[in-house]
Amino acid sequence: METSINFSKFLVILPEIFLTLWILFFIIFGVFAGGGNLAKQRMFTLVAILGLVVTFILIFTSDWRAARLLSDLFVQDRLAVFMKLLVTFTGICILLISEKYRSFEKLFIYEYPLLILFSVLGMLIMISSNDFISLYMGVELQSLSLYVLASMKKDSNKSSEAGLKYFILGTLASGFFLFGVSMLFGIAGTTTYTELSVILVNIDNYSPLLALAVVMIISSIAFKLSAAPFHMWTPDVYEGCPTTVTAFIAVVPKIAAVAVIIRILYIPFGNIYDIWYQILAMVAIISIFVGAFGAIVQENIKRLMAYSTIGSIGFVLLALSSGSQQALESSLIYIVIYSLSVLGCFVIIVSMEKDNVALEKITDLSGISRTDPFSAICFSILLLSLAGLPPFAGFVGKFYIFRSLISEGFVELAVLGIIGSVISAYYYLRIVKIMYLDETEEQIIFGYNFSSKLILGISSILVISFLLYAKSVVSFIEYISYSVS
Amino acid sequence: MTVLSLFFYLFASVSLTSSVLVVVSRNPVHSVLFLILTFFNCAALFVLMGAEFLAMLLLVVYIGAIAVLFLFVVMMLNIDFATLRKGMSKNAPIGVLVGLVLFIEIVVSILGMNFEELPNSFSEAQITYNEIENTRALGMVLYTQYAYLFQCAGLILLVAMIGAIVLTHRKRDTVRRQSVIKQVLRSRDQSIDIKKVEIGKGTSK
Amino acid sequence: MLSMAVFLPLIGSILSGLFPKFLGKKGVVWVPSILCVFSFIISTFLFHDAISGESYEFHIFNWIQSSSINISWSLKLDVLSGIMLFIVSLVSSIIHIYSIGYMSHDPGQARFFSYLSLFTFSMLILVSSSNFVQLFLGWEGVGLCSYLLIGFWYKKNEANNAAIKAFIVNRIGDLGLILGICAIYKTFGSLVYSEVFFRAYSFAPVDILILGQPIPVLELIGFMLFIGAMGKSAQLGLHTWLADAMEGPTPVSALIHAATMVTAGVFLVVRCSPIYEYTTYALGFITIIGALTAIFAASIAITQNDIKKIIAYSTCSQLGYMFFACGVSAYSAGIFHLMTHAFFKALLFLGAGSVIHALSEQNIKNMGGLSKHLPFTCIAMWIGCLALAGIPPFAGFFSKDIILEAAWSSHTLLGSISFYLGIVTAFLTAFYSWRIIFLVFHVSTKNNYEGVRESPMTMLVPIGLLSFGAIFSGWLGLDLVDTTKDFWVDSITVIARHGTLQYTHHVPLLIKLLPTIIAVSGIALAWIIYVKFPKLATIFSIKLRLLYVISYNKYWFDEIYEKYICDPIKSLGKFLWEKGDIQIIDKFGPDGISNFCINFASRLRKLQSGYVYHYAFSMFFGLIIFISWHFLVFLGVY
Repeated sequence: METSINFSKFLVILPEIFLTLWILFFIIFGVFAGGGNLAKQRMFTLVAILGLVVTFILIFTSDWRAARLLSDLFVQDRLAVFMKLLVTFTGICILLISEKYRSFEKLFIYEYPLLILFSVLGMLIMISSNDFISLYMGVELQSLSLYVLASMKKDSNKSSEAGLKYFILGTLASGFFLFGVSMLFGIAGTTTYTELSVILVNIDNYSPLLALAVVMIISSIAFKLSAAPFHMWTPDVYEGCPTTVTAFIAVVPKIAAVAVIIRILYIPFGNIYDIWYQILAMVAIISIFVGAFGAIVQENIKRLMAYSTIGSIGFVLLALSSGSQQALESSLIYIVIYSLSVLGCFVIIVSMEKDNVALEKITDLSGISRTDPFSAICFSILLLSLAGLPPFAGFVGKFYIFRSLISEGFVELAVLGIIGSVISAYYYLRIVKIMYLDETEEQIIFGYNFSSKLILGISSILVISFLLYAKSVVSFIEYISYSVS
Repeated sequence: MTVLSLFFYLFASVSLTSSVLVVVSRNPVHSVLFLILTFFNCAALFVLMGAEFLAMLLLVVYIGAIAVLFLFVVMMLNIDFATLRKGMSKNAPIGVLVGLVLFIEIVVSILGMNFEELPNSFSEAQITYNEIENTRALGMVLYTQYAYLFQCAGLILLVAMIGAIVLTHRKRDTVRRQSVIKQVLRSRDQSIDIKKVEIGKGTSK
Repeated sequence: MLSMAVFLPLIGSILSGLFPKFLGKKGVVWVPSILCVFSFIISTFLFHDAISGESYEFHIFNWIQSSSINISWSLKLDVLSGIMLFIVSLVSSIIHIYSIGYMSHDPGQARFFSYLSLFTFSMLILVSSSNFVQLFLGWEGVGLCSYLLIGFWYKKNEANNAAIKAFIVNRIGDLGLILGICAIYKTFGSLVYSEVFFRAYSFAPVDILILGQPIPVLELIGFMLFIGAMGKSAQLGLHTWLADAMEGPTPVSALIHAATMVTAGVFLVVRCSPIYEYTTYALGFITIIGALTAIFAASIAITQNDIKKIIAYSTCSQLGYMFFACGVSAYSAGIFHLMTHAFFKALLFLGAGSVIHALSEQNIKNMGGLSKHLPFTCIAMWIGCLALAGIPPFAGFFSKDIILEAAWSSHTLLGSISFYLGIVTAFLTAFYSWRIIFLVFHVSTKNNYEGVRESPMTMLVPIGLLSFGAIFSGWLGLDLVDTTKDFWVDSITVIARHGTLQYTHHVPLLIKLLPTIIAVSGIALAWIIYVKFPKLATIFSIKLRLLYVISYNKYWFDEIYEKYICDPIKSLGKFLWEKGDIQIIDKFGPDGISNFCINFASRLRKLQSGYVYHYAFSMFFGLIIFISWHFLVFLGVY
């Protein structure tokens, strides 16, 4: 326990403090500024984005070296900084692309950007947690905001249903988590990662109680990651949520949850690899196949993206199940590429409209290659990347995952992963086929504003040209990942 | 020691029985009442363990607020619990089976754990202020060592509050609000319409 | 220099093939032609360098570099490649110029010249390569161009069929060539000529096990390479495509199917003489196949009516001569005949082309008395036929004579057989040559040839040039077979006991004169049958009905192939497609898997019921499975 606060050391938590203060300011500002018209909503969004941008800069300029503070509840290292940057950046992007959608869905309330800020704050806490309790706080802060965001469209039954389902099942997962953590506390007498990593070495490796605790904790994180068999909420919630919230849920919390699971697996559970690797591999393989098969019969593009998420998360977990340094790197590379591609996809999905009504059927996309070739090309690139076709970015991600698996001797897992990947290529290609080959009389419009067009274009270009700069990305990720393990 | 264990078994068995009754009783009001009984017994168990602060918290928060809220909800909303319960008999066997397996596993693993052989850090982690009472001890760490968590919890509550407002608050056109500006700016012409009424005809409006 | 000679035609091909608009209507024909002529001029200098003893390899860049295989693009100049470069670029230039006139009315001129130049390039690559892979590239390149040019008039069904036939038959030969190259790589560990040939003799006693049978490795290689040569040079068995290939434009027939491409097989055998010299059976096989092809093709030629087909079978027959020359180790005689043949056969084709151009008719039965209308063509054809028949002092006399003498003096059974077959072939050759001459130019008919005029100068000048070649190339090229001079330096290897050419100085006078006598008597017979007593032709065809029918139907080779090879393969293919592919592979493969996936997916969808308690149950269930898994592990079940 530190009694004297070292101020320079304290600076690393500045982003969180700033964001909290900004949120409080934003609440007051929102109450007084009030009003439900478009111009005011723009202003609110801008204020929220400003807060996130400053947070981003503060994170970036903070000391990247490893540090622990606040009685070891909070940790700073390169992984944390990198994931926080990714979270804030994608958060900013989501706010930018949600403008137009909110205008025709009449989501004119300032709580929308506010809750996104809350959620991002929760994720920052999650990423920086060095203790299961602070992790729990972050997770709850993040999830609670998401539950509210999910049911934001009060007129829509589906939205309310989605929020409720998400809430109930999320609570259940939190229950698992707390149960597991209390078991762990019972065994080790602490919930701090760094202490656990030391203590858990000495414990008999196959104590069933430890296994129980580990399985419970991993399961609850798997729920947040929407990995099978804890994935059931995902399609319903994705479909029911306002599309911009779906985009948010699909990208940002996943990054945070990956950061969390990496930290948990490599630090407190780093020495009890035998307990978790089979569980993780099972979860991963089930996720990959649920993702691949589930998406085949979908007609709603948001549901399809849900299964796509499940499958992709399966690949991340598959990589992690080999437990090596290379696995860590490959999963980080994959999640970066995943968030980039999915972000781009959601720019398009969010913008699908006709006569100011949002559309979300896959068949609504038919024939857009003729009416809007730009969108068709970008969407195809992003989908092909998600499918893992060379030379797009997704291929590189999957390649690194399979390489790390094979080098650790998990050839069967790699083969299963590849089979899943092949099956999932079907539904991605199906969308491409619908866009390019199907005919339609109905003309869908893409309501982009400038920023969403920019994000779409940039993400497509980054995805298509990934091989050109893959080397520098990989070496940077290597640099990031050496802070863990 | 024997008295303590006697009380422990009393409270424990009552809380178990009443929690089962929460689930199976037909009348929802009875269910809530059994729930309150369960909470009481749990609070008593906490007292037995020397955690009087948690015991009081349980009484204040769960019984004073939540259970009473439940009671209101059950009584004020006309929910047909019979239909909600319909699937229960169908799904109960599987549920019981799954629950049983999980229960056995938890029990076995707790019994299978040799707590004596655990590393010594466990005792260190215990609250070291044995000579002072539980409430004060909690307070001493909550605002110092765990201030971060305390603040986070505060934020969570804030989100909960905002969420509740967002989800329930609706702008209804039927609700009339006082608008000072409108009132002040109103002129006579806007408010009063003078009409000559012929006798025996009335106004058309 | 060398690379310029080789790559100029490629430039011409690319220019007229890809930028026809840029070059314009005149440009597409003249640019490739002029580039080709330049290439010829350079080749002449190179040839001069080569015979004055210069030989080198010009390395362009590395092509394939792997651990054990190292192949580069490099061009080789020695006497053999020099003479081939000279012949190929010369005939090519002449044909280019001839085509300017012949194809002047064709809308596809740019395409035609592009193909023609591409062919020239491929042929030059073939002859100047310094390793087997590059040779194979040229080999396939000329095959491709041959396919493209036979099917040049792609709207004509026969042309397409003929093109496909040529390609497929060539592929069969190519298979042999590929196997041969593989065998060389396996044996020598290298594919570069210099390394392979340098070490060839040391592998003479080495056997290779095939299906447990020891087979001398050089015999195997020689045999495989010769299969390739047979395909390309239309030898007996793989000859069927050559006559059909005449569906292409006549300049193509002259260039590809008479003067250059079909002789690639001969070139291959000569190039590989260091290997063949240490074989017995392979050489014997070459001898007998060559001799049989010679007489077989000649016997078909005497009854055909299509002027181009007669010349095509004649080509086939002459190629047989070249092969059996190689078979008796008289490689230089083979190349000598290759050269003279290139001139007089190209001349014959161009003459025939001139006739066809004038009449738009190919059946010699419908011609006659054209000497008055086409005097220049008539003289050229006379020269060509005299050379072909081997009448002194025309070119064919020297080369054919030396081949027959070499065969005689080899003193082996196969050599003697091939000598007698060669003599009979010479007789038949003379006969069908004059059959053309008499029927086309001299026998008068009732046909009205008003308006039939000589071809334009661009066609006549090449014919004239080739006529010179057909007259003089024989005694100009006598050096080639003069064993007293070391003409070939070391580009051809002949071991001492195979020195048949040396013995040709000792053959009896009768043998020396026999070919000429036989040729003259062939001409005489043709005169008797077709000029003196024209009814004899019909009488003979009735009296010798059986022989006539056999010859006329080309020994039913096509029909036999169709029935016993093509049909079974087709029905096997159909069986594999319908039963194997559709009913087994598709049913259990792609279709089966996709059906399974869709079924599975729709079942999975049913699990997604929308009820929260189902979802919660799924989570619990997963949790319990994973915990139970650990219990099972703990209990030692796994």
